[in-house]
Amino acid sequence: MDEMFDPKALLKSMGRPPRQAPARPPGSSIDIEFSSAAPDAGPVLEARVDVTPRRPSGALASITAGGPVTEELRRLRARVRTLDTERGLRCLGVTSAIVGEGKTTIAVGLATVMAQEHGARILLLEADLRRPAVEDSLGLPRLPGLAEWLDSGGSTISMRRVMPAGFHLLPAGRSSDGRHAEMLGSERMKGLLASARSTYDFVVVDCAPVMPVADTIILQERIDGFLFVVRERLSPRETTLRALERLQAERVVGVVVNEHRDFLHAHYKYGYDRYL
Amino acid sequence: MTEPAADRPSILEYLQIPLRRPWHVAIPFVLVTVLAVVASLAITKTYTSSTLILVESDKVPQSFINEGTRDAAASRPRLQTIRQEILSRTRLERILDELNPYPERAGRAPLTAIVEGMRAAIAINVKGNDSFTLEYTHRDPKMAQAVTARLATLFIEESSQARKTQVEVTGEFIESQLTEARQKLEEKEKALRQYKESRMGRLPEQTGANLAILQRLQLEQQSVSDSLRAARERALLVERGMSSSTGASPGNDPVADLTAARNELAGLRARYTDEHPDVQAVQAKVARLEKQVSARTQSNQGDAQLEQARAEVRHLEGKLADVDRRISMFQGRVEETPRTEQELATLTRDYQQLNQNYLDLLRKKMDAQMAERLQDQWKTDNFRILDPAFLPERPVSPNRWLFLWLGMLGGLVAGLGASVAAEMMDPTIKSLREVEALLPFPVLAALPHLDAAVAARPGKVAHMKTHQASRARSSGSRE
Ligand SMILES: Nc1ncnc2c1ncn2[C@@H]1O[C@H](COP(=O)(O)OP(=O)(O)O)[C@@H](O)[C@H]1O
Ligand SMILES: [Mg+2]
Repeated sequence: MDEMFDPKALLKSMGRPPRQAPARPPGSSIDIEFSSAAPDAGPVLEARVDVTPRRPSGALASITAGGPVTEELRRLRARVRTLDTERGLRCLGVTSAIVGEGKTTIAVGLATVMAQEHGARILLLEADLRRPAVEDSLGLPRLPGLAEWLDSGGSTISMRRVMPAGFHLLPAGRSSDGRHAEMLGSERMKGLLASARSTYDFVVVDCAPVMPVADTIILQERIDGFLFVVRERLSPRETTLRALERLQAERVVGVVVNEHRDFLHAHYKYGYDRYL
Repeated sequence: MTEPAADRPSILEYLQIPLRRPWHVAIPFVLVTVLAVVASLAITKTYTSSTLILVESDKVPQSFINEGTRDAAASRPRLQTIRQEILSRTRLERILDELNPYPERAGRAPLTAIVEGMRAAIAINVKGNDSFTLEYTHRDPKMAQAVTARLATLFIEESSQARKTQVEVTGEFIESQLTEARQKLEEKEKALRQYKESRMGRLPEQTGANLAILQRLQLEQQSVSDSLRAARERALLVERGMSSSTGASPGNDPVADLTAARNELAGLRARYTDEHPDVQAVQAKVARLEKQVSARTQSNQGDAQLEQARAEVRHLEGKLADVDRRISMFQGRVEETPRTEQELATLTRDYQQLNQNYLDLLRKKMDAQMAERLQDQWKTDNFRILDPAFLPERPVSPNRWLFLWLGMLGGLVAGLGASVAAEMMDPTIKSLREVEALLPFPVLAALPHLDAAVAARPGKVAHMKTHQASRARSSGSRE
């Protein structure tokens, strides 16, 4: 695992990374790109390896399969684009009150559909250090990521480009100690986000849930806004309201309802069966 | 989110509840259904036996039956009262005694409770207007049959018994009345006889005889009084004749003179011949004296005659008095006859009335006896068992299908209730509408459910596989 923290790579890639990483056979090997560890300048982010999830039944497959899910994610993408152009929101966190409401799923989905737009450079940053789930949900092997980078004081970050959607992925990794909130509030984190903002067209941050831990509260100063996920029949009313109270109201750009079920109206509402 | 109606779930949402919570419906449904089926298997089976009893009209021609028996026929219990009859405590107790259908309760539970339980197990259904079914339910099919049969026979026996007793009671009543009437009649008869005896001779039927006797007595009276008069005259004559001869005779005794004269004569004759003057003189004296004596004897004869005549008069007088007395007696009798007749008529009328009454009763008694005999012969039972109690083959309870259906229905209701209750108690946000109402932020998107086949559910097996694959790859790259 020493390749991940190769200082040569750090020196080599001081400049802006190329828009497109060189195409490689998916999953053949792991190439590590590294970034500078300068606390003020921020790291340089580049994915050198393309990975294609092995699991065809993964979230990605479902998201890109077309149909209502994809349509809804495209709708979300359109709203987010509007927010970007109107308010300059380029670094958007996805959070919710509790675990399991679908933050990761929506973050991945959003990243996927955004990357599908021609030439868009999208970073999916996993900031849920306690329960990393992106790699699992994509069916990718777990590799060191954000936690290691923040912990180590090094300057190398393992990056992968997830194919065929083509967004870059920085997973949460595995932290050695439990100081997650401090890590997210650190200057290095700030630098990383600044770098990311400058490197990518859009950064999707998969955040920790609001209620159990303070991680996201701390992070909210560093990002442009939140999409707040509410999962039908899962999110408790009271907890959701209290979670929203903890967040700065102006940071919450909107709610995304997850697993919305409408037994009787689904087909009329979307009309996919007839349209497609 | 500003719509006031948005807060309230629509009916459609309520209808969705069971669809959204299929387990809440399914689990109680299955549970209750299984429970019902288990219960239907566990519950002791009961069997019902039934018998059909026909209510017959009398077979005996009505003309044979008189009041007494007709009353019994009229008191034939109507179908409505049969229930009470059959379910009567005494009857049930008797069957409990005979067959003991509840041995496990006998002695332990109060008899009233057992009888109540038995009563509840009996059903009587009137069919049409001339028959009814008698049903009894018990866990033992044989016992069900036995009790049903016994109930039916007992009922029929007792109802015909009741009719018979009624006839007998009628007979007894008539008998007692008859005895009473006979007594009265005999008393009356005696009184009549006594009266007749006391009025003997004065009875109306004796009037003719009385009159005849009276007539004869009057004739007798006539003849007696005639003879009396004749006797009296004769006596008078005798008396007169006597008094004329008695005036000439001396006062000396002729008989002694005669004896002296005869002695003198005898003396004279001894010395003298009859031509002697002395002798002649004495002879003449004797003759004279003899005359005197004979005259004297003659006058004695007149006394006897007189005496005789007087006696006859006395006799005739007595006889007349007797005849008079008898006449007056018979006259009295004849005069009393109308009153006797009246009294007798009254007595006779009473007697005849009693007699009539007695005869009536006697006839009634004979009728009753006849009816009794007829009943024995004709078997005038009102009830006949059309279908005898059968041995039930299949239990009536538990009704498995009913249990199943009710269990399913109950389970469905319970399931629906459970799902609604769970939905009510569930503190989660239920719908997009609720999100919009609750949260002051715009809903940017509503991601539908990701199909299980394509959703990113990190299954453990798949996860491990990926890990192993990646490890294999990474180690391969290192080499
Ligand atoms: N719309 C959805 N339909 C079905 N499953 C979903 C949906 N959204 C999320 N999930 C599943 O729920 C689980 C939790 O989702 P995840 O995105 O990891 O939640 P979080 O990141 O908020 O903890 C995952 O297994 C995911 O596949
Ligand atoms: Mg997550």
